[in-house]
Amino acid sequence: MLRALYTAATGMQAQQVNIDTIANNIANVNTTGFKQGRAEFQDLLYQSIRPAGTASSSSTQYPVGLQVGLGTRPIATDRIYRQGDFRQTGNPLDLVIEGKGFFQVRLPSGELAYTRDGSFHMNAEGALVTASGNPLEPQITIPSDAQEIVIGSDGTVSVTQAGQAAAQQIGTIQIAAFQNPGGLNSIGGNLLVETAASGTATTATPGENGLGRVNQGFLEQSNVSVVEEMVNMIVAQRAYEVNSRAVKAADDMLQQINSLAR
Amino acid sequence: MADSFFDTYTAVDTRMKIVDVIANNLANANTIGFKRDFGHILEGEVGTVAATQVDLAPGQIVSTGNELDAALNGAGFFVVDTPNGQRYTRAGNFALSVDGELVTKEGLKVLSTSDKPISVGQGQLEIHDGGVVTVDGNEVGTLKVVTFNDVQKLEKEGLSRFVWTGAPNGVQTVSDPPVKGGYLERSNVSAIDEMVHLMSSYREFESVQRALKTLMTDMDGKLVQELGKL
Repeated sequence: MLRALYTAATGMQAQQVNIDTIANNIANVNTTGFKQGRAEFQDLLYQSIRPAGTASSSSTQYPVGLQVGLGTRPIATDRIYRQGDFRQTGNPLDLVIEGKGFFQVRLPSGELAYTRDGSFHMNAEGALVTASGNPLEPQITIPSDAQEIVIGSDGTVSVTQAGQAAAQQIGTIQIAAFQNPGGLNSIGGNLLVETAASGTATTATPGENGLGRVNQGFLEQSNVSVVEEMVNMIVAQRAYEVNSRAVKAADDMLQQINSLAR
Repeated sequence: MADSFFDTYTAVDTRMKIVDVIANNLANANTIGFKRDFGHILEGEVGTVAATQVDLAPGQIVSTGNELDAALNGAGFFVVDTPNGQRYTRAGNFALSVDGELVTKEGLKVLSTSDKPISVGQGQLEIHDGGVVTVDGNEVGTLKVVTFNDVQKLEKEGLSRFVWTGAPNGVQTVSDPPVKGGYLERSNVSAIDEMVHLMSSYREFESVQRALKTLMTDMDGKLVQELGKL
């Protein structure tokens, strides 16, 4: 059978994964703290049908061999941790990490998850929670009579309570870092969880150990560039198209071979 | 008669192999650092044989803004450590291992000029032009880049890797490598060129298979007829 048929099919499958990734990027162009995904490919194994240097006669040899590759495969969907643009919101509970690191939140299952999305809210008990209600870890509870909330670049949370002139420190936001943030697993809802590849989280005060600082009143926008994604989409679509042409050509050739035998 | 039949058969077979090579190029039109194979037809002992050569022409260098990406804007290959020895790649879409070392997307360690892995840890990584790798401004190593004295002895192993089949002294380390951090080299496959090759190989195939069909019809038919007369 012609290898070309299967080879071109791997090319089409790869471009489907590429388009899927691009579509998800475009869908998340307005998602706070979203990091662009990038599908990456690798060529498959090669069949060395005739290695270079094989004897072509008793005294001569072929100067070049014949190696036929068997197509391509997606090797990774990488996340590009380029900083997104900051958008000023003026909301005291909107935070942005300027640099590396993740906010740490506690899932209902008790596990920890990590996010770059710093749009926090208060729940009924005054605890800082994400938009989906997962509390920040370590937990920070704002007193109900707080007049003003100030979060410093080092993560310290201070409040001014009714009838008091001086601000009072009520907690510190910690930031988590990973040896290999590319190895974190996306679980949706802007959340990431650690894996064997990411390593375990080390937490520190914002601004320390090369970690980013916290800025209050801002949100980190998605780092997806629509123009870039549009270009990538055209490239992927065209690559899909040429691979489908190769399938067609291979199919026609097989048809003609079949017609050799009457 | 039998000779021309076999010649024509090899002509059909080689065109099919050339189409296989083109299909692989097209499948890898978006593979980072991919080098296309150039398929050509040589005269063999009997009929024709297909041969391939790796086309090392540069792919387009594109900016990604990703600190873990590196491209070679000129000749050379990055060196990675595999269980079977050192291998060579043009794909600079690196990652970090759980131990904080610079690795390929398959987890193979990328080697420095001292043949050691490059330890990055958690700091701010930067790959500078020329291959120097710094973490928080401190130098931690230089990416090893090599060239070869005979590219025909460089074989594809697949999975973005090349293997050197020549003598060990045929591998030279580049002193000022053309590394560019934050960039990637795209596949050097041009869809237009491959489509042209595909179409021309397909038409060649069409005509040689037609010749084969004629030969088969004539030869088989006549042979049976002549034998029948005996």
